[in-house]
Amino acid sequence: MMIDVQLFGYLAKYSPVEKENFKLELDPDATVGLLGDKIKIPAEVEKMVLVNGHQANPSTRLADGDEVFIFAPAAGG
Amino acid sequence: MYGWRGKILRVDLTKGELKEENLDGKVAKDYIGGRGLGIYYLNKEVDPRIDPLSPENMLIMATGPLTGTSAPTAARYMVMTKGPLTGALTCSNSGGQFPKELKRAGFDALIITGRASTPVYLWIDKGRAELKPADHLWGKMVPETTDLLLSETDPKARVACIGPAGEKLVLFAAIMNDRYRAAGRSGVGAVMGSKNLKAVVVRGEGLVPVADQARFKEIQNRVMTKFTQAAKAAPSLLSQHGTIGVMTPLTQKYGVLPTKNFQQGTFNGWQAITGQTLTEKYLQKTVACWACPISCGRFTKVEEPGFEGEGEGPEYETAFALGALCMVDNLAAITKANYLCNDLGLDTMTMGATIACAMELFDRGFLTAERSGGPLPWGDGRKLVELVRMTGLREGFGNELAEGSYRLAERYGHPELAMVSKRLELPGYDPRGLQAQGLNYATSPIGGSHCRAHMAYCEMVGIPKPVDPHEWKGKARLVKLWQDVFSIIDSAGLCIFFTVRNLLRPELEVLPDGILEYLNAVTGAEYSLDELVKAGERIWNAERLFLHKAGFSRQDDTLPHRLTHEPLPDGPAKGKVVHLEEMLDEYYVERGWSREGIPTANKLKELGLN
Repeated sequence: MMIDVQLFGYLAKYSPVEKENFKLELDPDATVGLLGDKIKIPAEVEKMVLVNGHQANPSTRLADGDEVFIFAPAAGG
Repeated sequence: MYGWRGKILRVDLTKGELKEENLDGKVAKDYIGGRGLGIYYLNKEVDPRIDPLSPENMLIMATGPLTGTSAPTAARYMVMTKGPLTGALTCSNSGGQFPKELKRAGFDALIITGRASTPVYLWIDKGRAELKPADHLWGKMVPETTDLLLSETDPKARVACIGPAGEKLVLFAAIMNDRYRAAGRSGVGAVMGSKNLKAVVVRGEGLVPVADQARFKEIQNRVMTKFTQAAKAAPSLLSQHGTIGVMTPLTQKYGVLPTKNFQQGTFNGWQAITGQTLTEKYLQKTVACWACPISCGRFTKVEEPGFEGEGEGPEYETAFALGALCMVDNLAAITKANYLCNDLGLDTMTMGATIACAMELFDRGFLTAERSGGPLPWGDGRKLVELVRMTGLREGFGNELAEGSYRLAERYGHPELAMVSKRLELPGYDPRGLQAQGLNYATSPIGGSHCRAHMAYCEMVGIPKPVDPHEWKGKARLVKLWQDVFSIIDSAGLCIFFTVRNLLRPELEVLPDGILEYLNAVTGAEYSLDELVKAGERIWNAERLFLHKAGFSRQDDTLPHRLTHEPLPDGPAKGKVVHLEEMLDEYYVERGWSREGIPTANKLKELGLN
């Protein structure tokens, strides 16, 4: 299945394709956690994940066409 | 005294008298400073039922004990008065350089009453204050006023002034300092205009005295080292692209970007009003307030024909209000409208929300083109700019816009189309998708504001940890905690942006450990954590007492009917309304208030307010 991913702010540096927006092919029933493994944002980096505008956690299941928005409550403010 | 200068300047404009008085040490400790000091004096000396534009109203400009020190973001001051837009309390906050200069000039606060017979300005030069004629400045825009005042006083002085909007008593006129920074909300500029006071000009010297310099340095090194390391690893989006860079994508993704006068929660043109777009097209340089390591201010320049100009902005709240709320996706037009608001001295948020309200009244046929001086189509950037100018000068239909959205909508028979709480226009977060933010708007002492607590921190950004934005149960407790801690931040003289992330304990209780350290090193007052937390709650309750005496109660802790009864039609929060009444029941219990929202005798006694 195909997922739309956006890495917001400085997290864009972890993009596998040098763009903050990209599509990623995942196995059916993949989870947010599995997506995280593919993108390789270090575990210690604070981040929040929205799937179609809803807060998600590593066990949230993804579906074909989902929009995943990953951002960091960045340092500073 | 340390931190505090220990001096208040009283200005009686009717008599033309200036008087210094000492700041009471116990009052300073109990109310911290800034916002706390403001409400202390308002409660003590002002009848809350007065007409806000009468000479009896008191205009207070108050710094906090940290303002002007080198503690990070210690740049803020608070303007407190009874607001003409709302009839409620007003506390309007601003940063820049003026607040630290006021403090360096020797005063913790200015308490201004009466009305001058002709226009004047207040000039404070290193502790010496005098009133000077301002007839030659009346009618002038903010930048020209500022330039003239600097040339006739001291080029190194700092200016806070009103523009034509304040003089003409536009009910949402701002007090502008350092040209581009605004104490924006609820019409503090109109109160200043009603007093015939055009400006306050200050020049100080030296540093704000610190009680324990070694301790202060140790805290400063520790806090700044941690901040710098974190910012290096994860550069702050606020620094890179400003508030508009952080918030627009987030509100759009959550489906809480108020669009078309809160008829939608997402905006098709949202990418045009992001900080990333602003950076690419118009950013000249970033701007920092005094002692700020973040530098979220944007100095911009627009060259598109019809929208030419330069200045600071837009911030997120400006871009949402003049942009999405009016369906305008032309960033040049939004930025130009922002420049005009700055020059005229207008609150950009109420300006945008009032135009959006007019556009909906027109769209639904309640307002005719004949009355509004031409059609008001959604999304018309040129019309937007024209309406801002007309409002600031009270020209034509602008004279009706100058009264704010509530009075406008009421005039045309549909007050329910004003997106306000206590008649103050709501900020850029649709509370149908952020329940705590909704409760926060409804219970804010100034009306619809995100600055007396900002629940988007926990509901959207996950600070200190994520909470479900659509759940209403249990939110009352969170709102109370954040409101009380924001009272402390506002009173200490700090900015929320640095403080929330760096000076609060990273747990749900958002305890102000970091502020406590700074306050104790700077003032030597040796607050305990419990005393400081209590002071925050005391300030919130003191403000509620003022409101209560002005006639406000639960029936005024409201949100527009649209937000509590019309489900959001689009986006991730589709189908949601705000569960306000349920949350209010919980909130008053958390606060120790009656079911009608009035502080109980026990609560007042506990806080020393009886």
